[in-house]
Amino acid sequence: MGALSFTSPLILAALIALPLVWFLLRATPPSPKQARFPAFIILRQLTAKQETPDRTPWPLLLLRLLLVVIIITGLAGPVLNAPPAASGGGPIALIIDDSWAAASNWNARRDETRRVSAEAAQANRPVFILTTAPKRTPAPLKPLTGREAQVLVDTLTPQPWASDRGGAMETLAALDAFAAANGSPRWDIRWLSDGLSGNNDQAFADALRQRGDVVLLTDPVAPILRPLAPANAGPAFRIERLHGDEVWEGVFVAAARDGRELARIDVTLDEGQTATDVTAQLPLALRNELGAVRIENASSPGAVQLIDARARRALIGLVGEARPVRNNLLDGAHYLRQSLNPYAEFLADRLSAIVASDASVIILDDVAAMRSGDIGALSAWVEKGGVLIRFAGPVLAEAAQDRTPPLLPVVLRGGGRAFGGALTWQTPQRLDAFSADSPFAGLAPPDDVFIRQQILAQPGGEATTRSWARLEDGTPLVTGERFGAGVIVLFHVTATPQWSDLPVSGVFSEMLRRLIFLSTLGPESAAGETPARQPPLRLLDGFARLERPRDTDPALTPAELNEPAGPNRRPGFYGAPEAPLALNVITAETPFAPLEVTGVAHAVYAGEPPRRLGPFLFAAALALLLIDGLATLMLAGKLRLGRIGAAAIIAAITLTPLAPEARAQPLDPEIDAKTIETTLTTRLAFVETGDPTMDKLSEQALAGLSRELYRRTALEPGPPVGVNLETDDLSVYPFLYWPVVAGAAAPSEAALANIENFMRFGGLILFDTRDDERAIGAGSTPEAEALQRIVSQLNTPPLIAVDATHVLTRSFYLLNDLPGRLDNNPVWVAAQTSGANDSVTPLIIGGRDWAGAWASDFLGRPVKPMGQGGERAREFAYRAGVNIVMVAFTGNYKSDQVHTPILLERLGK
Amino acid sequence: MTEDQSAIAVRRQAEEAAAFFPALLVEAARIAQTVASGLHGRRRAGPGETFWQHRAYAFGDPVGAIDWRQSARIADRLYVRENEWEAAAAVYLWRDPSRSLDYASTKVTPTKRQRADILAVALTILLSQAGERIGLLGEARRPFHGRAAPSRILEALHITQFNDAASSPAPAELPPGARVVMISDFFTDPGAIEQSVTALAAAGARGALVQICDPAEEDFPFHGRVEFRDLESNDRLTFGETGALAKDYRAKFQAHRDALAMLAGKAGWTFISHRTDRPAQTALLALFAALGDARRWTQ
Repeated sequence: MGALSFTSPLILAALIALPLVWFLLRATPPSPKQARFPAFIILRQLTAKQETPDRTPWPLLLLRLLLVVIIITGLAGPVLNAPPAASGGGPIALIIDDSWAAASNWNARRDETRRVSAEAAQANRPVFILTTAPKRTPAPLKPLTGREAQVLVDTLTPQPWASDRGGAMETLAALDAFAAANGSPRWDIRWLSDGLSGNNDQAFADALRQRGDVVLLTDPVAPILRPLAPANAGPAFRIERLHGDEVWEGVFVAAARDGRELARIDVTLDEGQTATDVTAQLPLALRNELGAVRIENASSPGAVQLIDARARRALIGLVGEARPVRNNLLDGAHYLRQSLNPYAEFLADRLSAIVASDASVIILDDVAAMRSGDIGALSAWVEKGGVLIRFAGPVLAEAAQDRTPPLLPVVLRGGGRAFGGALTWQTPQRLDAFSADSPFAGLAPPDDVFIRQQILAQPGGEATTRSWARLEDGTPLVTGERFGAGVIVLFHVTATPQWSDLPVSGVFSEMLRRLIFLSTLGPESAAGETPARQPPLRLLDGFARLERPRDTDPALTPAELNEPAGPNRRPGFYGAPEAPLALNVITAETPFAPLEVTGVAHAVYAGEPPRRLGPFLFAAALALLLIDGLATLMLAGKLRLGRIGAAAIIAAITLTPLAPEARAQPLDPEIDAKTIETTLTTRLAFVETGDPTMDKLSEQALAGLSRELYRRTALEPGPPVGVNLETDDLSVYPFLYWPVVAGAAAPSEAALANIENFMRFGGLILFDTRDDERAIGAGSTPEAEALQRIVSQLNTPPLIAVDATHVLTRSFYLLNDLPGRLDNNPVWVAAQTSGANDSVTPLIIGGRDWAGAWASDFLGRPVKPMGQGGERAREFAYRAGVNIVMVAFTGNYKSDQVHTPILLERLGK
Repeated sequence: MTEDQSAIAVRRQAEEAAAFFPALLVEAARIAQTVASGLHGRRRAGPGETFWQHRAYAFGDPVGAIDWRQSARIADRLYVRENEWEAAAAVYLWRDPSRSLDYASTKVTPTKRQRADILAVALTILLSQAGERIGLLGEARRPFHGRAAPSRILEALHITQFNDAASSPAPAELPPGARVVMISDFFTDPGAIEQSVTALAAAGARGALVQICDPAEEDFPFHGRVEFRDLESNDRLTFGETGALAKDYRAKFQAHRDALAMLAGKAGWTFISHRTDRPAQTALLALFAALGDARRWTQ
């Protein structure tokens, strides 16, 4: 608490008038209480005594006097910690190193700048403000008044890059012109340094000294986090600081890209110790999710390291023959996944899709036949730098009989070669050696891997030079060839242990890993021939917070991302959200040394900025005024409050200004009336198609069905409701009727998520294409195409046709089918394999125009004629509807009905 | 509240209050030539149902009046059976309809008007159970009797309406021997009340005055500067320090009450004062005792 001073002390003289106020306040009587009273005949007989006005109660009097004192004091302009009036009349120059290193103690700098500008305002001296970190658009330099400076310094923030004192020297020269206009007085220079040495430090200090007296303010620089070469156990970092004069304790935190904390390490720097290494020891699976590491609670961008996607594992495309493999252990993909799981992500798709994807490695597991288009695309992809790994197998051996399959490193001999069989005299062969000039060089050949069968290369020089691993008899086991920038590798055995022990040996995993590293594709190699500019994704601000990029932040090439950060290369994440590239403030090369200049006076940050007390006093006066008003009302009997009420009001008035942080809790998003209404009454819902005729029909249909449900079952639904998939909360509806109209567009991402959520948590959707009579072949009607557009976007389970034993035909009525207005084509439901939601189907797909059958007007008269069978068919359609809704509500509770005949039969016996 | 709802509420509370009492039999002090047959034996022969005496047949008696069974016991004499003459007393109620009664000093006490209505109806219930006839003073209609009487009285009381003009009962023609019960706060000139009471007493009526007061009216619990407003006239009176007036007020109030008690005593009537913070039963009990006190009325 510093000294208290007043800007206008003369106003305090008004306090002399207080006795007058006292006298005036005393004279005013409070107004009388009002009372109804019937016994007037007796009151009239009373002779009035004591008609003199009452005195104002003394607490009220004191309150009002206090109010006046506070207002007078507030008007006098009290200031706490007011700066002493500075001597000298020359300009004050504030040199601010607003670099990343200044962020950790920015408050001290801001207080200092406020103090200096207040001082300048007091003494009416011009202020120069010069920031040394480079800006894309430098602020125009001109002398400021103290008031202007006070506004400006509050807008300054640290920049997440280093300062450039050499550049600042040039702008310093520009300021001389302004100073010269005022007769070139000596400047009063405060250099708020970041404490780090940069370029031209001494030259800059000398330039400042020429112009005036320099005071260099320094503070200890917070520790930084510097990346090291990744260790085996995980990414490694070094925590560095400039001075080891005291013990420093901190926490190193590694976070995933979604913000989860992956690792947390307590770090201590002992006295005298300036650096320590930290390794984020993470399981391999977690290492790929790493998004950023930081020193906890540090606000400097130097204490944050963003993790580049280049440290992440490769994407491997897996193509195998479509075989009906029931057992995982007979599937080559299983072994490949097992071996590479820690290092790679897998993508199983059609070959063309994989080539088009970001995959850096493609594995063809016993694939011989490829379409010519695919071959072209694949060879182009390999030439670009991809790694193509192929495995032999019966298919490839078979194909090699007739012609040479494309994209192989060597020419194959047809058929295979088997060792150790009943008709062969050779024993299984061991893996003998890895070729020294192959990627496998240095791997120790295992002695427990036997090859029982393999596919053979045409013998010749080519096969020898391209052999990367060979058997004891010299036949190649793995052949490989560079092809453009990429590589084609052939394993002459299967990816399953059928032909050899290789897939179940440890060396297999290591071999594959080395092959993966050969790929020049992937994010890190984007720099290659096409330097694609990566748009900014999330950028660091000066306080190490990730923020959305501004429109003006440029996209960077991968090469530029390796340069130091600056105004045109803001640190942060760039590129695609799945695989962002990182530009860090601190790199392995970033210099980190203390600022050492001579010829300047040194000082430290201290003190508190001046604080005006006037607003607080006026707030207090206002509160007192309110209390006074309430007290007056209560004394006059016009306000009746219990004691608690009065206490609450007084407390609220007094405490409100004391609680500036008292804010309302963020509310949950408000629940709309429609949702609330549906929560109170169960209602069937239909999807609004936008076609008014269809929507009316849907509503009439569900109204008709609701009426029948009310009549026949314990379910008593309210009137049906139309829902908008984009905006409405579906979670309150158990059943959704979705008539698919021709040309319906696929819903948006939000709506799809909404629908999937609805299905996942037990909702039932009835898709109705209403095209039963027109659907001759599958997918031939526009409605069916629209349905396909919708359903293809959804995560749909496998479908089966409803048969007479499905629970849908048992849930209320015993039916053979689910007829609508029509009943030709089958109705599809989820196969009961998923196990989710107790295997209750989340969707029913059909074209039977249920709406047409159910729809009835407000008098209950049917709206549309039935297709076949007349009103009796309509009755069955209603029964189907009842069954469907019952499944939506009760799930497969009735599925045991399916077994009833058998149970009855058993009982009969 | 509509009139119906108020009526139901009053009726219910009145039933609760009356439930504590046995059937109230008003001693018929003076058996005049009242018209209707009633339930009170008049200790003389006359139309009635209870056996009174046998007497010898005299010429002119209707043959049907001869008690053949009694006559057969004694030779050559004929007896006529006479029943006791029974007649019902009529009780007339007056409840002050002025706005002055619409007052309750706190939320927990009822207004004086509510209490007055409850007392009136409770009394009606007791009286009707006893077979008496109950009428309203100043009402042109004949008195009510029987089970429907409480509802009829309730209806006739117009419990949601106020009439400031009738703050003392209008002079009325009453049959001799009638009973009168007047319920009010009697915050009017005692002279006017004395006039009506004297007039009724002169016509042979006996009765009771029930003064209903709010506790605030009796205790005067005010302090400081208070502006009082009359409920009827809306006149205002302001007093500086009401706390100091309380003693004086209570003395004046007691004087007023004494005046009322005296004028009631003069006419041979009973004066009952009742506070709304006391149970209604206390007033009803006092009223019960007053109406049931045969000796006082028969003298």
